[in-house]
Amino acid sequence: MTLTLAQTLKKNTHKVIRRCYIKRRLIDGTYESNWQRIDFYRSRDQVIDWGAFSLEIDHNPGDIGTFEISSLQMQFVNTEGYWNVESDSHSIWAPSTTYLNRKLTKLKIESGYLDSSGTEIGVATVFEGVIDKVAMSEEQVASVTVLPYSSVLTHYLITDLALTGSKTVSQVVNAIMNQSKITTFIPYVAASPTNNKTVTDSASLSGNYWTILKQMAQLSNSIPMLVGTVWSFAPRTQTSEIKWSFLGAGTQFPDIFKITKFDDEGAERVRTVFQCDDDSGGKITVTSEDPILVRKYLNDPQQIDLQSIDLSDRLPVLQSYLSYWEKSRPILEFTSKFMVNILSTLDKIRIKSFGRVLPIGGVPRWGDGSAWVDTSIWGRLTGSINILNQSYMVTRVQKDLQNWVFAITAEKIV
Amino acid sequence: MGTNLKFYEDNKLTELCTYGFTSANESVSQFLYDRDPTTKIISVGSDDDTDEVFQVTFPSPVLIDTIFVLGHNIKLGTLRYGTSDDIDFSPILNWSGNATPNTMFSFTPTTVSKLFLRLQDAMIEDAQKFVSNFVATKLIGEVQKNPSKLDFGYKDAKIVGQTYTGGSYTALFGRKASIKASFTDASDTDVSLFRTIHDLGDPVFVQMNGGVNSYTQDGFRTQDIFLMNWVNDFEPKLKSDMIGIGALIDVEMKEV
Repeated sequence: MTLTLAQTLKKNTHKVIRRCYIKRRLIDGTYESNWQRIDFYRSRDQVIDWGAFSLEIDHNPGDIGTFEISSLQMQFVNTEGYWNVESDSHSIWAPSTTYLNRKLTKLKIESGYLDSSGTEIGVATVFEGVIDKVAMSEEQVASVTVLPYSSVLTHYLITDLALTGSKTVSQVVNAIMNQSKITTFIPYVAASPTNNKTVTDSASLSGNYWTILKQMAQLSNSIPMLVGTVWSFAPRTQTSEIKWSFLGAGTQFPDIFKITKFDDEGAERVRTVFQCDDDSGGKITVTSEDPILVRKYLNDPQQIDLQSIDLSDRLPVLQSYLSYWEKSRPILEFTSKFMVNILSTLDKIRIKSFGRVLPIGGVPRWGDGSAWVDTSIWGRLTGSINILNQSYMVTRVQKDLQNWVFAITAEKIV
Repeated sequence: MGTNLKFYEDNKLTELCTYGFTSANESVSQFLYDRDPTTKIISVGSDDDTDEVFQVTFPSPVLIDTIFVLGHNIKLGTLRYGTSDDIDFSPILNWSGNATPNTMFSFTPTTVSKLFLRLQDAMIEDAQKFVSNFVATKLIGEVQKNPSKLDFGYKDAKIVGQTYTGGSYTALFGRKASIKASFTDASDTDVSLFRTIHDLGDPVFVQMNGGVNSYTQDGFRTQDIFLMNWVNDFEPKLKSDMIGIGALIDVEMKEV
């Protein structure tokens, strides 16, 4: 019987699949049609270091409506010169009359597992991006920096689109994403923002595509996300389905390796005052109506740039932000198994991890209880971290391909 | 040819060859030479009445004298060359009533442009026919005297972690072989062979069983040919401070 990926992940003994492919640009600027495998090339293993990358929403505290994918740094054996410049006949990019240079070559990584009979399980693309640069070392190693496809969105200016008149957020986002120069990298998916506000004068928008997308996200209380090549521009809300139930200390079959940080209040991210400019030099301000919260988290107003939408739309947007961010949410950081693509940002997860569990009746005796979870005896919880089947939303996932571990950051759903 | 430790050139099958299969998937032709026993080229919709032919065309003619067909289920089949599966090697290479999954063929050195592996019957009647690895190579040399000490083993590339209950977690990425052979009576011919391998700048296949394919011990079976780099220094030393009585030399090799 072939196990599913989820069933495989429940086991503690894994055989790993990691593969790396490239697609070179031809001399006419188009991409070759087939992926070329390069982690095993000319009958040799070529990768020295697979690197790690992360997906993250709310990249900086208070910087709402952002999404970032980090770059990926890989190292390859270059004793044969395969990673050399295209003018070198040994290069994978030779001859230079056929292929363009290394920069903007597509690179993707597939990973998954093998079961005991050699059947592949859950193999999927976990990262896809474009090569930014290749650095050589005396040790005959090529260090390759790979940027996510979101970096392509920084190469073009919104003025390219010559937008005019009023446009809704989704119209602006779709105008950017539904162009062949973008769909070459990121398949088009129509935007579905939380609040589809209207940009009153789209001609006044300035900046590169990625900047505008983040701006549109802020106007509409949404998140622009790119997982692999799957694009979405959607509400910043957790999935309804619980994607994984993590078990930690005090459970019988834990899959949390280590809780690396637990902020049991999440005070740093609380905002009780939001503010934006009106059209007459003044400010529109919304403040939490809960006086205790204001007293607890007295902080500077969070400034939001809403100039591009109609004045009457600005207050509801600020109120929408306030209703979410005035609440404190504990933040948990932990490491676990490499879950391929099962887990991503905005996913809802459950956590069960006990801190210190003591017997209710005082001194325990042999035979009083057989498991930590026997609440009749072992129900008195103390200690730093006691999370009993609570729901969290994933805000950051670091996929460490080299060390084969996920580092997950999640905020409690309140 | 004797039965001592042997070294062979790298596989002539590479990405630069052209592959044609009767029914098997040509897009995964690298499975034939990836040295991975878990991958294989397998026929589609074939049976014992329908031959499956794997054709390999080299970018330029290659000189070979040994072929390994590993991880297969060929009961009846042939291996030929020429332009259209028309020339037999000497001796003729074929299977008839075969029941072993790993085969080594040695033959008179022959220059070939194309190879034709014809799979006629599978070991289980009408089963799909498959081959995991196909190595066409040429012998570099055989030591005149085997090492006096041979340290052979495998090394895993893996992560070993620990869960909250203290249970172990492992993720295995791969396994590679390594050998350390100490020659205490190496002839000048052997030292010359070692120099050739050391200076080659390419990995070589190491065959510890010397072509004796009846061994069943791991490391010495037919399928145990390892593509290896020479990793230690080339340091032939005088034996008992005298010349003309053989040399001391350590050969340390690791699988690529």
